[in-house]
Amino acid sequence: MPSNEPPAVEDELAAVAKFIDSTGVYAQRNERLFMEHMNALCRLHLNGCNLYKAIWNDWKVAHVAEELPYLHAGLFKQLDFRRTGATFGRVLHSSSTSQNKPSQIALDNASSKLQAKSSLAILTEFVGSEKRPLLIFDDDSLVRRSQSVSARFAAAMSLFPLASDVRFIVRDASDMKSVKWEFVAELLKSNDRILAFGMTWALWQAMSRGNVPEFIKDLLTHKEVCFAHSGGWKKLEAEKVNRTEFNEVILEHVSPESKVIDFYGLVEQVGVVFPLCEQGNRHVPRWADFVVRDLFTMQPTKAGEVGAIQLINPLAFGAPYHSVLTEDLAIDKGAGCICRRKGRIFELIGRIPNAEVRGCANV
Amino acid sequence: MSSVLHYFAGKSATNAVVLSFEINELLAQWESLRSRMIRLRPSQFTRDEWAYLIRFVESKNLNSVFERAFGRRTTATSFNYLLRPRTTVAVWLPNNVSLLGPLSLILLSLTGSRLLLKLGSRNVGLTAAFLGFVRDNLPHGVLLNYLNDAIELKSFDRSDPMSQQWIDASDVQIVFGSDEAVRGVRRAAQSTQSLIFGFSDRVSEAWIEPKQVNPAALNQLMKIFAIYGRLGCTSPRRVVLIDGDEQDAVRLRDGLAETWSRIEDRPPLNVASENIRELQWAKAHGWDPLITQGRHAMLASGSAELPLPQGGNSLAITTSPLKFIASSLPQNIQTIGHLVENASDVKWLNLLAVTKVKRFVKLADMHHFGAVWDGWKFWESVFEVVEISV
Repeated sequence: MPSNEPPAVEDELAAVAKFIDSTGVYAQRNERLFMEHMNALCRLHLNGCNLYKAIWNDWKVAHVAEELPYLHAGLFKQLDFRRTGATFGRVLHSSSTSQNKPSQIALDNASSKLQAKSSLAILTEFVGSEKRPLLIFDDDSLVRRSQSVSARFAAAMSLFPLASDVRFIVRDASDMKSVKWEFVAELLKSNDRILAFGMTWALWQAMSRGNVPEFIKDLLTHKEVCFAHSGGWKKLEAEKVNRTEFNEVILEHVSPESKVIDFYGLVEQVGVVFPLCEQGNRHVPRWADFVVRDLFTMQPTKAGEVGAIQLINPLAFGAPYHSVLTEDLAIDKGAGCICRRKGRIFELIGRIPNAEVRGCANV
Repeated sequence: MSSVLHYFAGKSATNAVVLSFEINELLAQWESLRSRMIRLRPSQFTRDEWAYLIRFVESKNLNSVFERAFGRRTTATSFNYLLRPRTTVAVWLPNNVSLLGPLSLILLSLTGSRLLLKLGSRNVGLTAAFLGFVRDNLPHGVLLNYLNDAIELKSFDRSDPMSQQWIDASDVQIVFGSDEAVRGVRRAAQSTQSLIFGFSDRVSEAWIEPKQVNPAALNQLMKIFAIYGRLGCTSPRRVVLIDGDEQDAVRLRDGLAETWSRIEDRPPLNVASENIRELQWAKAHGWDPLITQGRHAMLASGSAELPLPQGGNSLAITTSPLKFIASSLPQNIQTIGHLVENASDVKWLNLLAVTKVKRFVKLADMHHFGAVWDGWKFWESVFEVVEISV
């Protein structure tokens, strides 16, 4: 294929789907094939997205991941990237704060299928494939929006294929004391294995500080619960709650087979999440990759050095979010982990800290 | 409290200014601090900020505030106007870290008025640090007495009842902050006699003639921008090359980048990250941008029609024919920092006369704060004017 000619979309979609299917989630990757798919996506977006082309008009074929062009994650708060010719459905948005607009990713139908396949494969690897009731520590207002999907809801939705039943168990997500414990009790009475999901802060608020009623504690005693959470530790750090204490409190009333899984993911990389393994490493699935960069040189960092993490995957056909330089810091920990999963691993450090703003500006 | 009369010969009248201290004594005490300030810098201040304060408290500079307002000191005993400071001045300072607090404190100390300084609720800022330093390092005297007895610093939200109390208790309100902050104080002020000065959302830019661009000019521009990026009201949000062309803009951009490459210290990580984002944003919008070697700034050359980059350390470099330069100025323009061959040419006055520019100053003086600000002689207005006819 001529080097700058974009691929036929349907062919490439099928090839990526096959690439995901081929062997285990954390098996050894075919590097050549991976780079072919990434370069194909670059060509596709250069041909179909004027914004991307304006940014990367000097693009060259990449032979290794660190040569791949990237978009800074912050751009998705300001610009609406879309590939001409894709068919779009809803818009996925991150949560906004008083200072920042949310990131917005236009979800296209073709990518959504690949992304769902990807996230299911990853989650199954950590959570198990047996279907069981899913309790979501959130309210169901997330479901009612038609044109947009929040990152929170997307994260919860990724577990739906593993659920025999889905219950939103909070009346009002702004008040985590409004958990509908009666729903929880009903499910616990007839199920020994439960899946639970919530944003990290929400799960903490619901399960800690004497919030769990005694009758629920009694029901939980012999139940195996897999608690999955996502969303970061900032609020908990402010309360001086670390991961060990968090896990201890969450698992306090359940059976010893229960577990807590922390997922790292971002809207700009929808479809790929990075769960924390039993050894404290974040594993990269076979169809994704990362580069940790020194922001002052843009070169990959040396072993053990902290840098900004760029996340890469070949699932994004609707818009060029296949290679994103995040605002998160990480350390490249090479490959190989005693948890038996192959492939590359990283340690997530946290968000790049904001320095104070100096000036008379109008804040 | 004692009253000391000072006489000034204005252009058309003699002014008697009554103060609770002898001016020379107060100025000498500010001056005496300088040697201590040169030896010791509180950690809250950057080197540039502290150096600016050292220059600001120089007696020659502070004396000029009186002279520009009232005229030259004189020994006349008859006068046309008696000027007396209003009793209490309340100042609302912005939320972010700002030198405005210490500078306002110094300037307003020259009035002898009681001073209420509201610090931003998000941080205590440089004002408390400066006041603490000065109190600790001044010998006993009229200035220390004033700083101990007549100054109150407090930090509270705009919605706190203290805000209304201060508005009611003060004769002059000076508000630095957002448009909303200024509107809030104006709405709450009940007195028919008090004065309000609102210094809110303002932007500035640099006007440069291409022939004036040389290494010294590039260094000056870099220093001015490096202090606050785009974020200060006096910071250049863009550079306009007067009657320049695209190549002039590219040359200026590259020259600035080369100047910056000699700076060894690195900015915080979030600035580096933001500038990478801004570089891509600028490319997406048609600019010809680059990022400086140490990631301090994103510099973009391009057409004046393009949307301006909004990053805190993003500087746009455009060109404009002189006859059109004023037409693209926003309503809230404040400072033009000029680097032109002949700034006293009347063509500038004619041009400025039809704009809302509040300051037309040398590029190097863009950040200089003074007794005249945003179109107001606010310092002078702290004094009530009593007409005297005998």
